[in-house]
Amino acid sequence: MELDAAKMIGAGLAAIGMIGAGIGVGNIWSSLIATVGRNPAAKADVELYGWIGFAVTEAIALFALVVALIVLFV
Amino acid sequence: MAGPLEQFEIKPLADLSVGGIDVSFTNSALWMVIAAVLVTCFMTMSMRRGALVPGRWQGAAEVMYEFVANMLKDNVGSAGRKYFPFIFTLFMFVMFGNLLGMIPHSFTFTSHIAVNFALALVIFIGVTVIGFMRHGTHYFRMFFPEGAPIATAIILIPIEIISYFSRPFSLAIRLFANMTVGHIMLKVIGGFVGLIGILGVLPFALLTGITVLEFGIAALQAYVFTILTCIYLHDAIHMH
Amino acid sequence: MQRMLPVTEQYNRLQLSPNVKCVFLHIMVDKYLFFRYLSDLLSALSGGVLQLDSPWGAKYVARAFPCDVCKAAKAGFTTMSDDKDRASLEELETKLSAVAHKREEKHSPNRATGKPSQGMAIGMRISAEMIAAVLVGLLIGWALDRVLDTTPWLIVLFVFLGAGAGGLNAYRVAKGYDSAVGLGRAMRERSKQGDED
Repeated sequence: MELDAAKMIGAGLAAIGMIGAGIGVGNIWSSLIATVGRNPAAKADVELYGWIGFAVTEAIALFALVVALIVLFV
Repeated sequence: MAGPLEQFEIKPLADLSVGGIDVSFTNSALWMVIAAVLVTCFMTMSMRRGALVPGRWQGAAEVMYEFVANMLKDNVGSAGRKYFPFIFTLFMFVMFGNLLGMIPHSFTFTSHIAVNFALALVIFIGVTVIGFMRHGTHYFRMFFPEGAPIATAIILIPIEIISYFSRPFSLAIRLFANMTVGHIMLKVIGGFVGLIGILGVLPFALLTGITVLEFGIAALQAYVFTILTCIYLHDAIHMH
Repeated sequence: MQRMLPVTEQYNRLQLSPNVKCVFLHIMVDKYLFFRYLSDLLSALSGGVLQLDSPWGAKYVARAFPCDVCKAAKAGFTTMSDDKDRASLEELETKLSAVAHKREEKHSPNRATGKPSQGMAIGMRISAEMIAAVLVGLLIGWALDRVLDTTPWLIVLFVFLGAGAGGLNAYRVAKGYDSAVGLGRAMRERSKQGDED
C-alpha cells in the first residue's frame, strides 16, 4: 500500500519537470512574436527555427511525462 | 450553493437495464432528444409553407441550409453532396446541443466527452470506410507523405498513423473542453455575484459579457466540429 | 464569382436610391437583409473575415419582386441606375475586392481552406491537437506493451512518436496545411493553389 502511495507521489514529482518546458515553449514563442513584430520580413526564416526550438523544448516535457508514466506503470 | 461541477452530473430519470447493462434514460439523453425534436420541428415547421418569398422562420432555416451547403461545397466539392444530410444533421445537432446548454438549469450534453467521442468516432469510422471504398488499398498511401525519402518511412509512417488516429480524439476533446470550461466559468463567476453584496455588480457585468461570448463559442464550436468533418471527408474523397 | 458590396453598404445604397418607392420592397428587402446580415455575422464570427460574395443575394431579390416598379427598384438597388455611377462604382468594387483579397492573403494563414482564422480558435485547435496525439500514442503504446509484454519500452517509444505527430499536427494547423494528412502532399497542394492565385 505504501508502495502505491509512493509511486503516485513520485509520478507527481516527476511531472513537475514540465514546468521548465512550459516556460521554455512560452519563451520561444514570445521571442518569435517579438522578432516578427520588429521585422516582419524575417518571418519565414525565423519561423522555421521557432518550430525546431518548440519541438526540442517539447521533447524535454516528454522526458518528464515518460518518467512519470514509468514510475506509475512499471 | 451548488458546486461548479454539479451541472455536469448525469442523473438517471428512468431506470432501465438490458442484459445487465445500465441503459437508463438520463437527463443527458433527455436533452439530446429535446435537441433532436427541436431541430426537426424547426426545419419542418419553418419549411412547411415552402413560400417563394421566405418569411422570418423560413429565412432562418434557409440561412442554416445555405451556410452548411456552402461549407460543404467549399471544403469537399461536388463529390460531397451525397453526405450533405449527415453533415447538416451533425451541425444542427451539435449547435442545438451547445445552445440549449445556455438555458439556465438545462444540461449541456456536448460537455460530456463520451457524447462527443461517440459522435467523433462515427465520423472517423465513416470517413475511413468512405476512403477505403473509394480508393481500396491505395488509401494506405495516406500514411506516407509523397516525395519523402524512403529511409524516413520507418519513423514517418507511425507518426502519420498516430496523427490519423488522433483525429476523433482532437475533435472530441476540443468540443468538450470548450463547453466544459465555459460553463464552469459561468458558474464560478455567477457564484461571486451573490457572495460579495453590492460589489456583485462587477462580476455581474463580467458574467453578462461572458454569456454573450459563450453564445458565440456555442455556434463557433459547432461550426469547427462540422468544418473539420468536411476536411476529413475531403481527405477521404480526394487523396491524389 | 460575382462580388457584391458588404451588406451595410447595400443597405445604405438601398435607402439612398431614388428609385425605391415600393413599401413592400422596403419591408421585404429589410427582412432579407436582416437574415443576410445574421448569416454574415455568423460567418464573420467563425471565419474571421466578412464574406463579400453573395451568389444568392441577387437571386433572392429577383425572385421576390416580379412587378415592374420593383424591377426598376431592384436595378436601382444593385446598380444605382446611373451608368456613370455604375461604372465608377464597379471600378471601386474591383479595387476594393483586390485590396480585400490581398489583405486576406497576407493576414490569414488559413486562407486556402477558409477555416477559422481567429487566433483563439486556432490556439484551441492546436492545444487539442497536441493533447490528442500524445494521448493516442500513449494508448497505442500501452496496448502494445500489454500484448507483447515489453513494458515499458513501447509506451516510451509511442509517447515520443505521439508527440511528434502532435507537433506535426500543430505545425499543420498553424500553417494551414491541415486539410490533408501527408505533409509532403499537403505542401504540394498548397503550392499548386499558390500558382493558381
